[in-house]
Amino acid sequence: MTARPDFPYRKLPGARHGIISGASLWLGIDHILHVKNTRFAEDYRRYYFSDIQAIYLQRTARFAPPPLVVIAVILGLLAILVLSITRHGLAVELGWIFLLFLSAYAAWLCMFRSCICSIQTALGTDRLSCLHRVTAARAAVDRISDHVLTAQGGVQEDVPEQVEATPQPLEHKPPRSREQLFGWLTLPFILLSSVLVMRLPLPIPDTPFAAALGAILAAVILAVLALIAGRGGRFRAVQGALLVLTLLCGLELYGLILVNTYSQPIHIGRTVDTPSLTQFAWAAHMGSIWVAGANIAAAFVTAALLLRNQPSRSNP
Amino acid sequence: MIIACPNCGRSLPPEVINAPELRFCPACNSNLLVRVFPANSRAKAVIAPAALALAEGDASCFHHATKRAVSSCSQCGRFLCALCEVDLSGQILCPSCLESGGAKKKIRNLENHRTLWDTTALLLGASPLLLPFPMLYFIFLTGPIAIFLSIRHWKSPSSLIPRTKWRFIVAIVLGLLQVGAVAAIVALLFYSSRAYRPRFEQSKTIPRGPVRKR
Repeated sequence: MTARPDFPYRKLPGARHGIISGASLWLGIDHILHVKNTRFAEDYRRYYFSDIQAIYLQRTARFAPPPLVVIAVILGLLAILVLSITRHGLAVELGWIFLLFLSAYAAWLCMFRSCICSIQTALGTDRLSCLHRVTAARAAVDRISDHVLTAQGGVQEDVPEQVEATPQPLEHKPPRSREQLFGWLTLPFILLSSVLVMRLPLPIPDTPFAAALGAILAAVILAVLALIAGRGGRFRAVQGALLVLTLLCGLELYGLILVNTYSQPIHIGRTVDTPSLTQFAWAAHMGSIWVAGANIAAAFVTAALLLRNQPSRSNP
Repeated sequence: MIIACPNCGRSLPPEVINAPELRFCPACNSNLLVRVFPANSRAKAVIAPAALALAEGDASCFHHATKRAVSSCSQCGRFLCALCEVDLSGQILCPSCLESGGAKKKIRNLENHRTLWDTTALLLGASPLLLPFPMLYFIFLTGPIAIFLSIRHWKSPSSLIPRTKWRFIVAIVLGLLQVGAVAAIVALLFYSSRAYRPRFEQSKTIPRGPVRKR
């Protein structure tokens, strides 16, 4: 595909489309153009081929929500649970809105953002926000690399020898020590939350509300540990996935609470028939078993990951 | 320059750099693909003082009378020394032309910001559809403004990247629909008031009783 003479740019793979903002990358004659779109205006940043020193592509954990989002989700869920005790109608409406947003965010987590791409020049390192998927980012990096090497008159193979002269780190941080510590700490907490959810040996009232609180507790524990365990890697990905799973389980139990709320007889002119409480108790029991099963599975997955991550994450 | 891990900031070993596949940083275990180019290890270009010295019979720079001219500005034609010349996409420019070109947006490669009038007009035109509750009361404003912006900025530079005019067309259509709706509402109010007046006047002129003849 050739560029039009009045628009000397060709589209590179990768773009970010948002409601408020977006970004894309374009290949020019002697530079790449990073376009940030804010709907009413566009901001441009040019990186000339002769100035590009390095391009970094860092794979990020998928299904791992950022800390602020996790905190907001948990607070929202708790607020709805509190509201469901005092004001049922408002809690139902808010619950549906919350579920809608959470589903959209879960879909966004699943579909987007698998890498961070940045470009280094003599003036510093800038992030290319449009390259957020590994496949597209690699295709874009390959195309940019060809043009950069042509412009700089070098070949890729002779660069490592030049870079070898750079100082090496004096000491290596012992890898994964903090992650492993908090990972092992996760296991008893997950099992404790499972016990809470199943209400096996504890004098907890046999209501779905208690089960939902157990699921929320599990989600909070997972979120805190994911935040502390922190940075990158498969560990955080698994933590994030489990967090989303547990939240979804909690939401399902919350839905059961809503069923219970609506199953009360409503006296508006005449009495409405409701499902029997036996059916509801069975559904709540199945939901709590599901949450407990998810938590036990989480514990096993975390343990398996912790046991095998040492050889699998080292450099080949 | 040191090639450092973007996650932990520690320098990366050679086997991670320019590897065909993603590798792990030994310090923080980030999964990375790093491409390093010759510009990273290239020394900064330094202009030798001898290259700037003015010899007998050489043309001098317009801005520096004691420096030797090596090129001329492609816009104004002034002679430039190696310090003054700016190479911009194969075009040699002097600092003043560069500054004026950037200020007047004559040089495309110096533009860092553009307003998207077509999107603005489109959003104004579609605002009663997107936000019906507050914006429906302002259609007497949004429609004409959308039409005005579309006509006023039809030929204005829109974006550096390829972009068609369909937003302007849709904005004009939506603006015309809004103007038409406003006109229809005004006409409806006007004719309904006209149609109501005779009955009102007729009701006021109901005979109160038999007219007495004096």
